[in-house]
Amino acid sequence: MTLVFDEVSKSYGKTKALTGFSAALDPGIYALLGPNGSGKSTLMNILTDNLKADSGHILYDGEDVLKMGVRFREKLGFMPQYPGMYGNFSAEKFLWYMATLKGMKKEEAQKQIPEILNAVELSDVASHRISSFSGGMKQRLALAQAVLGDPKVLILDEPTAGLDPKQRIAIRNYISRIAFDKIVLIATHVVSDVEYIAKEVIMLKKGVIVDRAPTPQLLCKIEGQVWSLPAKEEEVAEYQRTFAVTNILKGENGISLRILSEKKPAENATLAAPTLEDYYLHVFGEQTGV
Amino acid sequence: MKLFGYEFRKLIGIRYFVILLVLLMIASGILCYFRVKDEGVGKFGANAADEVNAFLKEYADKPEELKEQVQFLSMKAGEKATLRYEAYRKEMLDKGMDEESIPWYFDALKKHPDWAYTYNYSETVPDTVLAEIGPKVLENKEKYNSGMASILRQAKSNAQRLEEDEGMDMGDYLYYYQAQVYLRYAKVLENASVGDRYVSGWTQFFEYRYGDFFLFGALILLCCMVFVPEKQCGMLPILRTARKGRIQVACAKVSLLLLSSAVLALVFAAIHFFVIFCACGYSSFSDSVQNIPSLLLFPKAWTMGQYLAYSVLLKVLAAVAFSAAAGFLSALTYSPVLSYLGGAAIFGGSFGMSFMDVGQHPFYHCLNFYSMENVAPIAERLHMVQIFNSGMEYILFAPLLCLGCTVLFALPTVALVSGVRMSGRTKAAERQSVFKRLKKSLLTFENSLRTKMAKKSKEKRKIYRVGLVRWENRKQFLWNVPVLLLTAILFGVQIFVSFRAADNGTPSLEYRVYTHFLLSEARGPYSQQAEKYDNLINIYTKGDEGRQILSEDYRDGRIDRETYERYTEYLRTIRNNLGTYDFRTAREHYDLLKSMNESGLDPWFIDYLSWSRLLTGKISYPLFACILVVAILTFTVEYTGKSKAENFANILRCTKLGRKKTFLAKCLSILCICFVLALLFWGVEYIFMLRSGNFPDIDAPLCSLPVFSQASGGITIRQYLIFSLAARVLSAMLTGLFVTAVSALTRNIFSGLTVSVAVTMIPTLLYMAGMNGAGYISFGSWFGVNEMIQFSMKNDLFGWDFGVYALYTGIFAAVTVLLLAAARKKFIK
Ligand SMILES: Nc1ncnc2c1ncn2[C@@H]1O[C@H](COP(=O)(O)OP(=O)(O)O)[C@@H](O)[C@H]1O
Ligand SMILES: [Mg+2]
Repeated sequence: MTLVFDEVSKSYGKTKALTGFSAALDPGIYALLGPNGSGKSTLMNILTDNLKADSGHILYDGEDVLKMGVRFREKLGFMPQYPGMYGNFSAEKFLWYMATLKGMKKEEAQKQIPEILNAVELSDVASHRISSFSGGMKQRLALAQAVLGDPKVLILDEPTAGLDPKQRIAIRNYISRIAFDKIVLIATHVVSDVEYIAKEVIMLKKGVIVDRAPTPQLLCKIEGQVWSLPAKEEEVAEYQRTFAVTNILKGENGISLRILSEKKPAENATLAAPTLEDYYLHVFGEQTGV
Repeated sequence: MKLFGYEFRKLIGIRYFVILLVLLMIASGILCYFRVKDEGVGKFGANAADEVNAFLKEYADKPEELKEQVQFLSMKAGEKATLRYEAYRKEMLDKGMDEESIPWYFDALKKHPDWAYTYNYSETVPDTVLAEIGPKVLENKEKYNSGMASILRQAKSNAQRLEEDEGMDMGDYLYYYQAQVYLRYAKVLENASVGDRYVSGWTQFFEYRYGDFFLFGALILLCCMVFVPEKQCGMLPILRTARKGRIQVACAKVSLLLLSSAVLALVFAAIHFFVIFCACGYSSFSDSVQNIPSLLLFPKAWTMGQYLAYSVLLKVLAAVAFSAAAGFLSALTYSPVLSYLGGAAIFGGSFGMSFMDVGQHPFYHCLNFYSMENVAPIAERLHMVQIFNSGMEYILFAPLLCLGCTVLFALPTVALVSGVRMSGRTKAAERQSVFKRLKKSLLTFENSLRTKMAKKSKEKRKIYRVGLVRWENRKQFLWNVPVLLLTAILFGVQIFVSFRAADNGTPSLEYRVYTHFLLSEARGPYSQQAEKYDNLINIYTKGDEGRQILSEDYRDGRIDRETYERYTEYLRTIRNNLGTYDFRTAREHYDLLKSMNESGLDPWFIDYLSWSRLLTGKISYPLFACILVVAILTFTVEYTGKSKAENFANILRCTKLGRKKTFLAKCLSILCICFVLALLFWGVEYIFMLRSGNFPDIDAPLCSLPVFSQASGGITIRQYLIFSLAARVLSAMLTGLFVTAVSALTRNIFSGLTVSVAVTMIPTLLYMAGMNGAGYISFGSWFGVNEMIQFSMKNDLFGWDFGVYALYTGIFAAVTVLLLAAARKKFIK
């Protein structure tokens, strides 16, 4: 089971949303990491055939997904970035409807729906109208419908947007639990969502892949460039101007800065273990204005 | 001011809105042109009016001579036309045409009206036209003079009586009124000049009413566009937190609404003015307004120009007031469908009021948005509103009323839109918050109820696994509370309308006599009953002679004793109760049947009135509205997201059955819904009709009914009944599909509804407005089936009764299928 992107490109007028995107995915979790407007949603919409690519193909086990049509879609679970659902349905009925749409068997749906509702912590409100849900609840319901029917290809566009930390972790764990036999593609700009669960990270910048590797490999690239530095309050501004400061920590014994730099920024700086967030900032630093 | 500019740009930025407005204007102009093109002498050339006036002037003080002259002219014209026709006939015969196929005199004359020109008097205007106009203008003058005189006389005598008998003076309203009438009319008589000149264009302009359908359609559209889109795209909360986002934006929006309404009213008036100018041309602006027949007794000595200014002003004010009211509803509900229906309801109410009897309900008749600026009927005799002990004329009162109405609705609208929470919060804002709180508590209550119910049935958890079609049904109808409510309301309206229609149709006394005395004896096929029927009419109408005939018949053994006694009894009843009763209806019916029998048919004597009522029902607007609303939701429910990315369609499209199957399911769903709705709504009509009369002879041939006298024999009433019911259901289903296709193509409730209404209703409107050709494309007649079939029988296309009907159905179905195919392609691509 492989999903291959072959030079997929898309532009809106003059803005190039996606340029020559190529990648091959096996089962496992892939993180599509990039700031807003880097083309993540565009890619996902092309993959789900909600958008036509200007050029390029997407192949599933060697076959063009557009040609496969229904055969591909029955393997698909999609959670869009801004899910819209029928306000007058209850959560449970909505999932039943999705089960019908996905052509699931009755017994299967009967088994899965309560389970999934439980996993996304919506069991208590399963019979409530969707229009009475908060943003986070809708988000979780959207995830539930994507997961429903055990799709082989799961596409999640910013699945944790608007969730509280506890739910974030719960969702993250849930995704990693069900992901073993699926190709899961998660688009996000929240590094912590995917840092530990992603098999591979695809960095996307203005529609172009800038990096693609498993997390440890990425971290290797900035090994020895992350520094921890105690500083006085009045020095912080100066450091921010000259170095890429990724974090400012106020501890009991003064301020500690986390700095990305090839050279040692100051005498009293000590090397720190890099994280994916450091790498993200390393890549998108000038763009996001750190 | 800046904010106003932005609001204006927002409005203009809605492309389909602008396009629809332009289309409405064009349609209005075209309709107006067709209505007036044959009126007036403008079509005979620029100075035709002058020639008419010269003619009138010559005979101004000699009405007798004019009459003679007119007769002379008509005769001459006739002679000339005959000569020309003969020449034409000869020419045709020479060309080898056979006698049969040459058009008859009158048909030929219709094609060549210029044959009747004799050029005796005028260079350009045909004498026949002169002969027509002359007496009319004179008659108008006479009417004016005598009307004026009688009003003055009466006002004077009334005032005198009040003064002498009751001791009233100017302080009393009644006396004041009579005095005012006298003064005003005396002034008019002094200043106005009527009947000296031919007035062209003005009558057409002031009496043309169909433009209002387009104007108010545009206004309803406008009202929907100002508030609702903001809510739909989710800008409302953002807007409200901005510093100037409340009161200022609300003021900008409301003033934009009012101003645009005024501009629209002006534009439509200008279009009509211009179109009528092109078609008829206007006579002088300074003619007295009393020259217009419906303004003959207008109580002011105004000129056409003044009256034009006033009536346009009033139309503008009425439009503004209407928009204020409809806009208020829109701001209250923030729902596209309800905004539409609210506006339509206000307009419908106004339109209905304009049908009221002027004498009994002058204010309802005139003080409504539809016919407000048509001052004619109520201005007569100075209708005044009594305010304390003095009066205010309608002419002044109407604009004030509009302004009041505007303020009354505009202020709460501003409050609603800005959601004011200030110290001096207005009533409306309070009501809204109550409304909101109620909604919230209802929702909480519902949720807790649902939880409880769900807990109870935990073990045997409900299974919702049903087919896609039923899911679609639920989405657009069964689980859609607002739609269900609306359907219930519309169904209520249908019941009311059907009840009234069945009630109103009580046959006249004459007809009851007919059924009672004639039909009870001689019902059945003409060939068998004609003699008896004819005989009975003879007996009944001839009184004593009739009795003579009866006894002879009895003596000669043509009727038995029992029948003899019964007829004698009838005869006595008729003579005692009705005096001389001529059985005209019965005779006419007999003649009709006779002529049909001569052409080879065998119609029956039946209770044709009751049957006709049952078989000539027209379009059911409640059903149409219901189908429109439900069907427009078929696809738009998938596109209700605040932006494209938020539509459910995104999820739907990447499921296994989310494209082709769902498309099919949606079509089937709307077909089912329309089928049920059609049965329900039409069923109500038939049930009420059936209850109100009795209907034997269901196997009589359809042509027995005078309205279907063009039907060619073969089909019976029973067959027709089944056929028309089936056709009505089919129409409803096809319409549902059509609107569904539009909904899939537009993906937007506003534009979808407007396109559907425009495509279906504009031809209907044209037809109603008197463009007979539009009957062929009148959706209304087709949707109600019977009207279109009568039309079809009349035209006898391909020698087949149902030719036109079948053609229309076929074309409509083909268009629907094409649209559906396009929609399908768009949906599943
Ligand atoms: N419908 C659209 N019309 C024009 N430009 C668009 C449209 N959708 C996205 N874009 C542009 O494409 C680029 C990528 O957008 P998107 O895929 O939504 O990014 P992401 O999901 O990574 O935030 C952005 O620059 C955006 O401005
Ligand atoms: Mg995105």
